[in-house]
Amino acid sequence: MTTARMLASARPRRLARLCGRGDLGLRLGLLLLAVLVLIGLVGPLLLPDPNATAAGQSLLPPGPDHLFGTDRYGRDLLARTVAAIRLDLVLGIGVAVAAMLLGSLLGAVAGYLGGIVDEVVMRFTDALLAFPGFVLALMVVAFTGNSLVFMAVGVTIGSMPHFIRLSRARALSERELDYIPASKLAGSGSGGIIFGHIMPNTIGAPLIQTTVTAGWAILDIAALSFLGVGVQPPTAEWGTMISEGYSEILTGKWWPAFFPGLFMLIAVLAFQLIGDGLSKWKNS
Amino acid sequence: MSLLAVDDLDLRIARSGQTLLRDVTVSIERGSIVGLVGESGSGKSMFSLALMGLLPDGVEVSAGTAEVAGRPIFRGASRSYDTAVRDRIALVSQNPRAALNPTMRIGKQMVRVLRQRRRMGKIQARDEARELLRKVGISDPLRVERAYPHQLSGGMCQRVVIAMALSVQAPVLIADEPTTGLDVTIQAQILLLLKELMADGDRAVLMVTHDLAVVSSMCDQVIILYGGQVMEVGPTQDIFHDPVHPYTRFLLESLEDHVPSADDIGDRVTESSVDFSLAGCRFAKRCPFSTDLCHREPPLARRSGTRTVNCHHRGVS
Repeated sequence: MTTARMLASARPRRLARLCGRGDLGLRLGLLLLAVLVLIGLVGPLLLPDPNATAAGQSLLPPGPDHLFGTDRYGRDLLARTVAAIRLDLVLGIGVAVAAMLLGSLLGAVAGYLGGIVDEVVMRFTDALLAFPGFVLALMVVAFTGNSLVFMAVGVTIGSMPHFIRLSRARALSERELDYIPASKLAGSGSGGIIFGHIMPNTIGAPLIQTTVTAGWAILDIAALSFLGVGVQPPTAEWGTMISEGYSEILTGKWWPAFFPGLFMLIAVLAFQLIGDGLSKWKNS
Repeated sequence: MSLLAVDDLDLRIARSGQTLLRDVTVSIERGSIVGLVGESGSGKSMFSLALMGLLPDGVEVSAGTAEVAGRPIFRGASRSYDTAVRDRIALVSQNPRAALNPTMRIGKQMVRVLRQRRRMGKIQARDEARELLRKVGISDPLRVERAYPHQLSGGMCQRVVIAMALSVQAPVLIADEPTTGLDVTIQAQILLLLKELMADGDRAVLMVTHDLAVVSSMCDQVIILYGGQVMEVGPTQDIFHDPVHPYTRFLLESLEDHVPSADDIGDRVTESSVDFSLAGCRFAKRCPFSTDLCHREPPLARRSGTRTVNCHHRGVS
């Protein structure tokens, strides 16, 4: 067998080993996420319209007709919770990936160029770190306007500092390796070195951090929506659903807030487990 | 004509004013291999970094001139590095694995260089890369170009690095301890390969090393460096058979196959670290023959024929 063919077959095998024989947490996380994605993809096709109200059916407890019960307006909670999967996962993952790309790029540029660029970027990062990401997102929305896009931008900015630090630290050690000066000598400019050499070699840790960040981002987004920032009712979203349902808990009607909360928990747990599992695997 | 001509080059730390290299003069003819020998901290790496414009922050060229293939390397009053000369210098570095990007296939790395330096098209560059791999003794370039550096042995990686250095067709090649990271049998192969490749005599090679055995088998000329100061320069044969400078003698006496004799100076050389702020000869503190003059003033180069000795007391007879 030629090496080339061995290479080609090594990749799927490695992935299989990662999923199959990886540690329990990683497998559980991947399983949870897969189930969530599957429900999110297929569920809305089978379930009723999440925004369809029904008079006289408000606040029905979970039962055979409505598995998760109904909310104050008689909307089916199962349909709403499932419909929210798409929005929350896409937002969470989108925000995490955007923060990873921007943060790693900034970090790699700062680490590689050093000097004044490094100073400016790192002081900017310190300033960002002084605020919790959540508060920062709130500020961005307050300054720019209450919309989904600006909320996503806010959470992205709030999630960036970790990526900047991570990738700067890796870039600092990477730029000392011989192939960087060799590449300079061979005529590469700073841009070519950052994108061709520094980024591909420093992206490992930020990639793993992305999964954990996706979990946090979902929490942040839900928390903001809970406060009425970003996603607006009647859009089905876990945060807004909890915010609509939490007052019913006082009267013993726990289900309008419980089920979206449960799904949120599962989503965040899945990302956290995957992140932990991946970093364990990378360091082993 | 000298392809690489460095004249009285001084390097110094900008903040403290310490001189790291003092009056280093090097001249390499087309077709010759010159060994730059010195122990750790002698400034040999600094010297090659200066030629490539890769000096660390805070180290600057404070005096002297340098030319590569007729073009000045340092320009203006501040002696800033002219990056345009980089296409005339190629590097084979000490650690072949670190010299290759671990996340990029060999073929792609080579093609990148060829496209940047030789303005080749994609297909042309790929063919040229295969040709170069064959030239450095890799019998199955199709496999190697698809491999990542970690899938190749150290010797193979060094062959790839040499192929990349050849690919830019630079007149000056700097080989910075090209065999240090390899085991002995591979060392011999790589040295043989380098010698073969340089046999066409188109280039000038600066071989930076601390390995005297490598020097004696590879180089036409040797420059002995100690504490940032050139001690002795001359044809390899002459230096090895008739060392003049006390430091050179001391160095050769330290070799395993040295036959002890009555006029050895090894026992009389004292231990002392290099003092870079010293005004006089850098070796003065250790030298058994040093006098007040040695401590006070830097030695002048005494030339005689092909040899140069920087010592107050020992000229070439």
